[in-house]
Amino acid sequence: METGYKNRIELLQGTLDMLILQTLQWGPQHGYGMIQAIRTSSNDVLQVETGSLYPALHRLEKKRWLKSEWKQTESKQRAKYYRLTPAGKKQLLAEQERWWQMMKAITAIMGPAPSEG
Amino acid sequence: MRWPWNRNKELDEELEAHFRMAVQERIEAGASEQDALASARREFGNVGLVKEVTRDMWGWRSVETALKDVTYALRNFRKSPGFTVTAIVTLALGIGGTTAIFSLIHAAMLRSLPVADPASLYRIGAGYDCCEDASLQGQWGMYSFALFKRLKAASPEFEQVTAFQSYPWTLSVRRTKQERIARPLRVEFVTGNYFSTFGIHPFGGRLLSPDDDRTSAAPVAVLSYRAWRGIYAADPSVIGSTYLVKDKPFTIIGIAPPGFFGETLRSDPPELWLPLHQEPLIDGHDELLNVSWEGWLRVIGRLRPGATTAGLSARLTGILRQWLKTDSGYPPAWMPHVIRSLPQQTIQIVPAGGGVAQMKDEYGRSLAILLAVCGFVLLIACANVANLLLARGMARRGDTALRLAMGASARRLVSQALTESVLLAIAGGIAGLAVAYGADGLLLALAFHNSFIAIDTAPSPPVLAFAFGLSLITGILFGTVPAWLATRTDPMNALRGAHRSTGGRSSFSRNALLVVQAAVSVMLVAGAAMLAQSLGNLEHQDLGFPTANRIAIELNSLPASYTPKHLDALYRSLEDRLPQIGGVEHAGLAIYNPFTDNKGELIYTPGRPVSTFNENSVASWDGVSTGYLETLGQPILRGRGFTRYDTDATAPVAVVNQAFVKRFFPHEDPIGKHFGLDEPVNANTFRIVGVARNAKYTQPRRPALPMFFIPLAQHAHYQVKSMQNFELDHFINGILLETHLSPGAVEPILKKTLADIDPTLTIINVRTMRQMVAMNFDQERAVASLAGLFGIVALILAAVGLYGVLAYSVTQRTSEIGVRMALGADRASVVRLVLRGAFKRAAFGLLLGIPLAIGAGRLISSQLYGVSVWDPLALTIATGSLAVCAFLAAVIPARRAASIEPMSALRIE
Repeated sequence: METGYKNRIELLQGTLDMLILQTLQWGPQHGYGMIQAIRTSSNDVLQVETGSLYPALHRLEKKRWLKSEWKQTESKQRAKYYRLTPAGKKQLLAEQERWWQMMKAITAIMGPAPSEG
Repeated sequence: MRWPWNRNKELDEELEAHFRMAVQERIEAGASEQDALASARREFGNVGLVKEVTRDMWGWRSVETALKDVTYALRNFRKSPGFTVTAIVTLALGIGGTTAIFSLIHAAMLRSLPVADPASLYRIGAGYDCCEDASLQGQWGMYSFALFKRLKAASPEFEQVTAFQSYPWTLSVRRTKQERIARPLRVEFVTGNYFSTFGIHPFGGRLLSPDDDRTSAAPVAVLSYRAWRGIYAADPSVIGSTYLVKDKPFTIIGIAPPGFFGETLRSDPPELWLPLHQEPLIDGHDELLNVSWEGWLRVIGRLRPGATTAGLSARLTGILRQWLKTDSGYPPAWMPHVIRSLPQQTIQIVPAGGGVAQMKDEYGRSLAILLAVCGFVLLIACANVANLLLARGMARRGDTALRLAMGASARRLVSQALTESVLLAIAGGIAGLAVAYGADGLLLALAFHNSFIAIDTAPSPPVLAFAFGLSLITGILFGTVPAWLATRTDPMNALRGAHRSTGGRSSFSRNALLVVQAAVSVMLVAGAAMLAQSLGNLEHQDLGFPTANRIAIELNSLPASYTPKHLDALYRSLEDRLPQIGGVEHAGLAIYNPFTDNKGELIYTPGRPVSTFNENSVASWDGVSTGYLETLGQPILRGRGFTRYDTDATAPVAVVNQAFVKRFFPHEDPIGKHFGLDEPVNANTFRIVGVARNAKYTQPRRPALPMFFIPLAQHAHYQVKSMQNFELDHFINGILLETHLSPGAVEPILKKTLADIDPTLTIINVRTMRQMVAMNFDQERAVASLAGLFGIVALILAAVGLYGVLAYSVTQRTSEIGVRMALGADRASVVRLVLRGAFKRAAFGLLLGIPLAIGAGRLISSQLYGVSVWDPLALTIATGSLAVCAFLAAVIPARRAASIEPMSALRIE
């Protein structure tokens, strides 16, 4: 179980907000689900800490990009679900735009990623 | 809505759910429960830390940050104790004054009587005055006993209805076996169910019952707790002992409870309650109880549970009108007038949980003026503190800019600034409560001299709530502008340390505040000057007699059993003996002295048609000894005064005043003319022998009433029975002395002389005529003194504010002044520069303040006597005092500016 977590890397400053928004664009999700989703989508590379996730969720909710409500999970447990607000969607688009620009710029300097050997 | 106190719990639940899901997934993946728990816990990390970091995201509204703001504010206060103390004292004056007036308003107007369920008490009738000008009451409030019984029978909504005397009388009371000399006590006649209607229980013994309130019942009385403690030293044997009330024996059956001062809040409340049906026993042939048209009782009822007063007012008004027409017992000559004015006669039902609300009407306007004055002082205090905060804000610009640059949000800065100002205001409010308590004592002492009034000024919950609310509003009021300006700081400029920039917005706000302060203090000073002038006009007006060297003595009523013959002999010996007292030049006797009573009768002159009866048909009267008018100094203008030949042996004569002549004999020579009282058949009773100068005997604010005087030694004889009261009513209550002695010096000699002549002659009080006049203006004096006091406080606050701004601007402009001086400006011109700054602001203040003062004058014009709303003297005083203040505030900064050394000033640059 533990082996899969060994390759994780620290998230870049400021990218967590974007990842949360990105994860939520497919629909409402609770905190635990988001951590799992980010880990799965990143092939177990990105492991978001609870100590980073929850402050970020509460901050984004305060900025009114997210809205939260208590719902039942599939396994009949109560959990707090977050979903994107229209303002959150707009913010996500802006962040995506910025991210791709940044990626292009950094890739231009660093060159393409070496193939895994 | 998520409330802060729910938010912590919600966060706990959210993280718990997370943890449970993590454990469950591990178990589903095949781990043992123990492993799953351990692994999930490891992955989760430090729960407490996660919570804390998350809570940080909630922002400035959370309790923790609020506490942080408070500690930050307290640290700032400690760092600048001068600022803190100045601000708190300033606010304490403003909040304290306002709270003082509010607590009086609360005590006098809003508080309920200390009785059971005050909300179900209602008064029948809203009026206070009775028949001052012989006209009907209109808005009824006082009834005869017969009318009371009629109204009571028609009000089944009331469980109980009680009637009581509208105003307590002062009667001579002596405890048998214990006291030799009678003392004056205030006595109120009440129905037997008076105490049970209010739901009051005795402190000791028992209270009056309906069985005590019968003519045949043994005479009993209830003593007030205060009198029992104060006069009879809480002696328990008072209960059951016999007291002589005007020489009639009454048994004290009980003591009323401590908080109960009667149904009406008044200075000098009743000390003894007697059953209504004993009134004829005390008053003899002067009795009121069985006179159907004499309005002397007020009425309060307690509503049955579930009943309402709907329709009661209309029903009782109907009964009143019917009664006036058929059963009032008015003389037939009055009836046409009575019937004409029937539609104006009404009875209203008003809540009486606070008792008879006479104080509200008498003092309401004065208290409203004072509350407004205090509100304005508070406004000036706010402006001052705002100015202090602005100045400090300027000094802390660098600090603020640094915090903004470091990423502090504007909201956070504002919340910190507001926390600081609200804390200051609350500290000011707490200090203000002490000020309020002192001010209330001063106010009551001014308004009521040393007479007792049952007003408790100890802070009560509503007063505390008021002071707290006021502090909060105040804090926000003076804190907002400085806080907002703080967020406007441009970090770049401020950090560059540009001391030269004077901060455009900030200095505009400070100057605007100064102008408002100056304007408001001009208004307050002008208003106070108008009130003071009005008081001076009232006190120094020509009353129609000199007030110097006159001493008025009020006597306890003589026993009703004294016959006219007995009285004549008594008065003769008084007239002989009193002038023999060393230092007494003249002495006179009267039924009443000026400003102690007012008796009025309807006047008929021969040949005048009956139908002309109206409020212009009455005159006041007094019965006087031969030397009285001379002693008073009211000159006889025509004809003669009374002589010792005006007795029962000669035909009745009268002296009238100028107003009387004007009203009843406008185009004739009054000497030798006849007039009479109440019925046309009496029109020839009195022959006018002299005309006296007008003098004010009752209302110093109003012109002298028409008056006639009759000799004490002469009794007109009437055929009609209703006139016999008048015929026999020659009992004196007043002695007047012309003397250089003080009341204190006269009283002991007088007491002895009176006791020698007749032991029933006892003194209620001895006062100079000046005191008698001044007592009429206690309320005006209290308002004028306090308005003056607050006006001075306002001026001082404004001056302090101006000083602060000027001193600050001199510091700011040190280098500029240095440059000017280096370029050849002399010290005089520098002084002029600073003074000009001061006077410019004062001038703007005047420009705004004078119209305000005129507006204020218009608002209080009903309180002014002989002062116009556009009063040049008051405006001059206000302008002058503002100029003096501006000058004083400017002197120190100007001197400092003039002492600047150009070289050292420039070197600072």
